[in-house]
Amino acid sequence: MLDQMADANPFLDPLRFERRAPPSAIVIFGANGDLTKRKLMPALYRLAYESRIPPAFAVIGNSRTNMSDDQFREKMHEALKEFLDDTPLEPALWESFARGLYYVAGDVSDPGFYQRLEAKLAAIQQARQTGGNVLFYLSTQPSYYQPIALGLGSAGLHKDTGWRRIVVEKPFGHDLESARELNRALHHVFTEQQIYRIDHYLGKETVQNILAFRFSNGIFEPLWNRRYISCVQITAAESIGVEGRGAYYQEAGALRDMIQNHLLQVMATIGMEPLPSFDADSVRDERAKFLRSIRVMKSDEVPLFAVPGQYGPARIGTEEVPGFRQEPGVDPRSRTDTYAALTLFVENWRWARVPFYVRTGKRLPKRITDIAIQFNTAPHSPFTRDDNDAGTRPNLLIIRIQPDEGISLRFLSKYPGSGMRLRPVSMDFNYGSSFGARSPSAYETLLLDAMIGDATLYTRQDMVEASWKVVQPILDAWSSQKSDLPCYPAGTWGPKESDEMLARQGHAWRVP
Amino acid sequence: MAASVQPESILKELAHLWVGLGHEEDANAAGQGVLRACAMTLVIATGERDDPQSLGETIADLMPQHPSRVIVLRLSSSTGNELESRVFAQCWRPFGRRQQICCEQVEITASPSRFPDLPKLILGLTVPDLPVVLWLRGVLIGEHPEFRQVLGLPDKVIVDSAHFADPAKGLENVRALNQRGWNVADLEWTRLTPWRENVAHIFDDQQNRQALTEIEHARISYTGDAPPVSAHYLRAWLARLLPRHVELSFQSVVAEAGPRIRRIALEGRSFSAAASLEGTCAVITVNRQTQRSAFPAQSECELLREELSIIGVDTIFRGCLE
Repeated sequence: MLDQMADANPFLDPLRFERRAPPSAIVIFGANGDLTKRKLMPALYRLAYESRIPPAFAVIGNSRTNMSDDQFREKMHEALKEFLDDTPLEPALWESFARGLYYVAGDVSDPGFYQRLEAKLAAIQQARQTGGNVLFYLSTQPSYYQPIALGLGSAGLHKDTGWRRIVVEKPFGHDLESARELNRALHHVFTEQQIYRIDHYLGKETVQNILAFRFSNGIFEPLWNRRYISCVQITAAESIGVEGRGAYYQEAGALRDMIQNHLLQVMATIGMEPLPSFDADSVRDERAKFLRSIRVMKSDEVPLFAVPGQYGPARIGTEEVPGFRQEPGVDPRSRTDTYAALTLFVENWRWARVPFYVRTGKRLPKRITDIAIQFNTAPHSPFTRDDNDAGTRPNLLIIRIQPDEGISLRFLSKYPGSGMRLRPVSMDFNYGSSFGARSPSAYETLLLDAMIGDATLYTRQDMVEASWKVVQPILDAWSSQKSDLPCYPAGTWGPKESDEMLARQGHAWRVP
Repeated sequence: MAASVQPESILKELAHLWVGLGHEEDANAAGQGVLRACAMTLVIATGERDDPQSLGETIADLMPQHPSRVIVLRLSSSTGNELESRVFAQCWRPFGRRQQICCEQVEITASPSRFPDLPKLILGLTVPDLPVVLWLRGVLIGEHPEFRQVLGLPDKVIVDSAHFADPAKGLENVRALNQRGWNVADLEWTRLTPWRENVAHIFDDQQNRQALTEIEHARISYTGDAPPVSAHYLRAWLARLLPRHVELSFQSVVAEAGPRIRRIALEGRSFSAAASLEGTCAVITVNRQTQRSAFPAQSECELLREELSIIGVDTIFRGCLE
């Protein structure tokens, strides 16, 4: 038995224990930025609080600002005070966590910086026994991804006795070509197995629950195809505008910012084939296969199957809300899409001719992300139609990603009383009320996965390229258009052209 | 009422309860009806000295995470011919939601002369196709031979040997249940999860795993006169995982209120590690390097939550028992 002890930890109890990270260090590039303060540091502290990272653990922050280790610790302490939810910031625990925080100032385009980083890593490895395992986390502007990867490679930091991995935040390129270029630069230094492309949507508990729902329940799979499903609607709506990110957002737009990455990954989770096993390769193979099956639009099809929009000024309640072009930092003639709706078809036997409607937008009536599976109506209703036409309403399966995470099945039921009046009713599963336990944040899940070496919820290069292939013709067509984008008043569900797009297929957007 | 308590009449009362709740909710502005939630039948056998308020609070806290049909059997020692039942709902409204979620609770009070009627009553009240869990809260099943029939029913039997004044007897009782083939869980074992996790954490590091052979002595520190049952479980667990030559011992220490296990120390010539408690923090020390993490509160409800989330057999616990 002792021979085996060196390989696996014999003290583990998978029935009761949570997963834990191995001894390791995380180097965060862009540690002075918002993502580090709002998401990464709270997630790491929470993992430490739950004892899911070992004593042999360290975080090394980097940015150009000069700071000592202690100043960095103080800055992170302030960030935790502001952004830590659901978890007490206990002094003794913070003190223990803070001892593992370090900082190296430096410009990532300066080769000398990587020498200093190497020296710091060596010292930390000695002091904290991190075993040579390092996770490089790129939380910088995308333009720094290539110099950092190349800098790490030139200094030989991409390999050592322990494992070395790199986490890249979206966007993975600005278009198909730049995505390929970024990939070439990363692969120049790191192997695909070392690269973890993070899409925080895939780390959400409810997105993971789609897999559990589809592949551990026998009753839905027989219905999950073109014979029974009329259409699928995926909505990611935000009620806020660009909130001071106008300059960034007008370079991205809704299609790039949401659909190319998050929503196509969600769509793949809904539509992929059953998995042989729940491991990184199986899950990502199936997702990639699905993304490759999405029919790529020809340029003359774009106006029929894709609708951009831009929010205009409106009065919502008592509040005067500016239009996108009136937002600070936005070009008054900007043609950036703040709304995008697509009709996508999947070319395989399961989904042939079933439209997947995907929409996202800013300044819509409410913040919600959900997926509605609309089933075919009953082939014949023997009941007299009432005023609401309830007898012909289709069954809907609604998977709510946020807020109010859960699943609802809408079906028709007889209203009590004489006569046969039908009324839609909803059978609800609410994630929060069925499992009172706290759900880990997407970043807790994904950071732990990267440290453990589980890439199941990370995006692979072929998935990135397949999704860019889907959106590239649409981006090209929209950028070549001379006319203004359809405008929608802030606080509404998007331009009327979007409703017309669905009406052409005999469908209508549901109101979430 | 005593003579007429039948499963059918209780089920009928439950049906009326749901209709009533539906009407109440319709009368409110929300008008969304109530959501009935049930994932198992939880039978709780409790004595008359048990504090009904504390039990009620535990059940109310449990339901959002493990919605169940709860059957509380209150075993009285009265000499009469008492067998009474009442039904009610445990409801809560999740934060930000308009719809109420409710679970059913049936409370049965029986005097010894009616104990023979209880198995039939319980059998008729379990929810079909869902797991049945029996929680013996301060009741020894050996004292009530009438329950033999009931014990064949549950998927899991939960006891808490911490309630035994004599730990040896407590352990003997749990072993006896296990030997009869029941899937038994002891909350004393559940209390060890954070301790075992902290020890396991030490050996996540491969270098520390390689140092396992160097360990010569393992010491479990506890408060009180004699080692509690949990200390015996811990010892059995360590004995199964540490090399045979390791000497295992107990040490009594003085500490203020809190968990009875206070420290686990593993020591050798060139390796030492310990997990200990400091206030509300767990402190792990490996070769003088320390880390703190939260040591979760261990209310009765928290312990039950953990056990109810495991319906199958806990082979590690069974191994330690044997």
